[in-house]
Amino acid sequence: MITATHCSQCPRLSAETPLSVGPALSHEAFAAIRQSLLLDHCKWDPQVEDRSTLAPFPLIMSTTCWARLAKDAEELAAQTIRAEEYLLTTPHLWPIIGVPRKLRRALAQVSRLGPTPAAVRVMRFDFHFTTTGWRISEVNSDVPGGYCESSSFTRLIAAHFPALHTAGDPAQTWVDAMARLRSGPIALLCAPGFMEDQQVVSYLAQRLRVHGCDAILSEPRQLRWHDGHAHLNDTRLSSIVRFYQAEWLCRLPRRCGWTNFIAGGKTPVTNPGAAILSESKRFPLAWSHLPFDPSAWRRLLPETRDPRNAPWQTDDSWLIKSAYCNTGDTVTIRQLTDATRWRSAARAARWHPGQWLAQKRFETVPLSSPIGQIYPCIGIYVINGVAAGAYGRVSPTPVIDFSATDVALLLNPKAADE
Amino acid sequence: MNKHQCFAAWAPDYSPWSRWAKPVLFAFMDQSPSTQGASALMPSVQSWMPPAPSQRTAIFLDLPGPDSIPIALACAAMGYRPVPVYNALPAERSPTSGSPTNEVVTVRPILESLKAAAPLLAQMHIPADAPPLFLLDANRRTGVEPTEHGWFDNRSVSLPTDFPSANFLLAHGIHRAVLVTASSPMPQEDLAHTLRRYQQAGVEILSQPLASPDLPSPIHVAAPKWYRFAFQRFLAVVGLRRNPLGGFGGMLPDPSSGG
Repeated sequence: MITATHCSQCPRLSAETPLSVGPALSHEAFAAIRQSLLLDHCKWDPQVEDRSTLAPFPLIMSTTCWARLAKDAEELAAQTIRAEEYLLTTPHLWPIIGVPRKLRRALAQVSRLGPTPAAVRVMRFDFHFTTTGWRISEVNSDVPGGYCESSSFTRLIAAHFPALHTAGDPAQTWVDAMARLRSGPIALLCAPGFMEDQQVVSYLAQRLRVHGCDAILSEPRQLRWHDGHAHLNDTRLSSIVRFYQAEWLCRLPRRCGWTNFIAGGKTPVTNPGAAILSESKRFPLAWSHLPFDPSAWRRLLPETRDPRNAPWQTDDSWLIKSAYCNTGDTVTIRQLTDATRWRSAARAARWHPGQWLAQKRFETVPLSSPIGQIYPCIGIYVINGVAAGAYGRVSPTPVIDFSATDVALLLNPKAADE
Repeated sequence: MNKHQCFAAWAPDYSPWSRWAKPVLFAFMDQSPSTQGASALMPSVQSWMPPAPSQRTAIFLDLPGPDSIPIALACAAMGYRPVPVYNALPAERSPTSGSPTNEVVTVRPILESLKAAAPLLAQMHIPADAPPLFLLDANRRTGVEPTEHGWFDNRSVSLPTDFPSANFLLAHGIHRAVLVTASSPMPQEDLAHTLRRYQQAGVEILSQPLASPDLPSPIHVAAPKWYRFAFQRFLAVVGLRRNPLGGFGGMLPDPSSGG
C-alpha cells in the first residue's frame, strides 16, 4: 500500500497554489479501486472514449484552506437561498434570468398554491484556483451529481493515505438528511437513456437502502399526483428525489402533473422548484434587484453580463455560455474552441441573447500530474446549509465538462496554508 | 463465480480493450448460478465465420438480447477479445412482490448469459493483442414490448464515447471493422455515429447480416442526422422521443441532468 505520511510523498503546498498532486497508486491498487467502484458503487461511466474518468492520484489541500472554502460555500448557499426566496416573489425578474416561459407559468402558481416543500436542499459550488485567487464558475443548484465520486471514490483513495483525510462524505450527509424526513417510499427520478444520471440515482438509492429506506427508481412520467401527493404504482410516496432538471420538466405532457414539483405539491421534493432560479447562469443579472448585497457571490464569481452588453465577440477575455448549461457543455471560449463550434455558439448567443450570458474569463492555475498538465476544479457540496464534502475533477483544458477526470480531494492537516 | 470474477473474466486487466467493457449488468449479478443452460451458449447461427484475428479486424455484434454472447464465445475461441458494451439498467425487484418489475428492454437474459459464459471465457487463453469484438443489444433503443405504466424504462443508446477512438484502433493495427446484425446491412442510427467516425479516419467498414449467406461486404456509412453536432452525445437520446401514436420515452434534447 502506498502511504503519504511524509511531505516527501506529498508535494509541499507552495505559495503559488494551495493544491498539490499526490503520488499515483500502484496499478494493482488502483485497479482494485476501479473495479470496486464499477461493481459495488454504481460508477458506470469510467471511460469516455480514450480517457479514463478516474484519476489514480489525489489532489491535496490544507485543512485550513478547506475550512475557508467551506465557509465561502456556506455563505454562498445562504445568499442563494435568500435570493431564491425573493426572486420567487418577483416574476418580472424571471425573464432576465432566462427562465423558460412554461416554467415561469408554473412558478407563478407558487403565490396561489404555495411552493412544493423541499425534502433536502443540495447545492454544489465549483471552485477554481486562479491567478487571482479562488473563484467559482457556477453553482449546480438544481441537480448536482458526483456523489459516488466525492464519497466512495474519495474514501477508497483516502484509505491509501493514512496521514490525509477526506473533506466529508456528501452522500452520507445527504442520506442522513433524507432519513430524518418522515418514513415511507422515496422515489428517485431521472430521464431514461441517460446512464450518467441513472448511475447517480442508483448510487443514492443504494445508500438509502443501506440506511433502511425504501428507495424506488423511476421517471417523472410514472408518477401520479392526487391532491398534491405523489404516487407511484398506487403507493403514496414520502418524498421525491428529482434528478431531472427543471427545464426538462416543462417539456413533459401536462397530464403528468409536473407543475406539482414546483407549486402546490405536498410531497417534499429535492431539490425544490425554486432551484431553477439560481441554477440559471444568468442569475447574476438579477443581483442589482435584490434587497441585499450578495457579497460572497460578487467576490467569487467573475463579472457576468448579458451578451448584448459585453464585447465577447472581439475580446477574448470573455467567454459565453447558455443560461442552463448543466455539464459545462456550452461553455465556449474562442481560443479553446474549434471554429465551427465557436460560430455555432456565437450565432446562438446573438439570436437568443436572453438565453445566454457573457462572463469574464479567469485563468486557472494548472498542476503537473502523472497524466500531464491538469486544471483542477473543486466542487463543494452544501447540504441544508452546511458544507459536506468535495467533488474533485481535473481536465487537460481549463474547461471542465462531462469528460473531465474525477479525482479524490484529500486534506492534509499538517500542511501550511497557502 | 461472483460478480467481480465474472467481470474479470469478461474484462481482464491485461487486455487493452477491457477499459470499454460496460459494468452495469455485472453490478447486478448475484452469487446464484446462472439460469442459462449450456445450450443457450451454443451459437444458433453457424453460417458466419469471422475473419482470422491476424487480419486485425474489429467486430461489432449488434444482435437482439443475448444472441451476441454465443457467437462471442466462438469468436473468443478463435482469438478475439469480447467486450460487452451493454449499457442498460435492469429493472429491480418489486419491494412488495419481490418479483422483477417489467422492463422495456429485456436485459435479464443478457445478464444471465454473461454470467453463464464467464467461466468458459476465463478458461480461454486469449492473446493480449487479440482484436476486439464489441457486443451490443440490438433492442437497446426500442425494447421489444410497448411501454406501459409502471414499466421500468431502461432503453439506452450507444455513443461514440462508449468506444475507443479511431486513432486508438489504428494505433493497435485495426484497419477494418465488421458490423454483424440480424438482417439489416446498415448500422442503427446511434451506432452509425461511431462507425462514421471510424470510416472518416480510414477504417474500412463491412457489414454482415446473419440472415445473408454472402460474405461481409463493404458499406458506406452516411452521416447520420446531427452528425458531429456539438451536442450529438445528448441528442442521441432524442431517438427516445415519444411517438404520437404511442411510442416510448420522452424528447430530451439537452445535456444530462447531472452537473
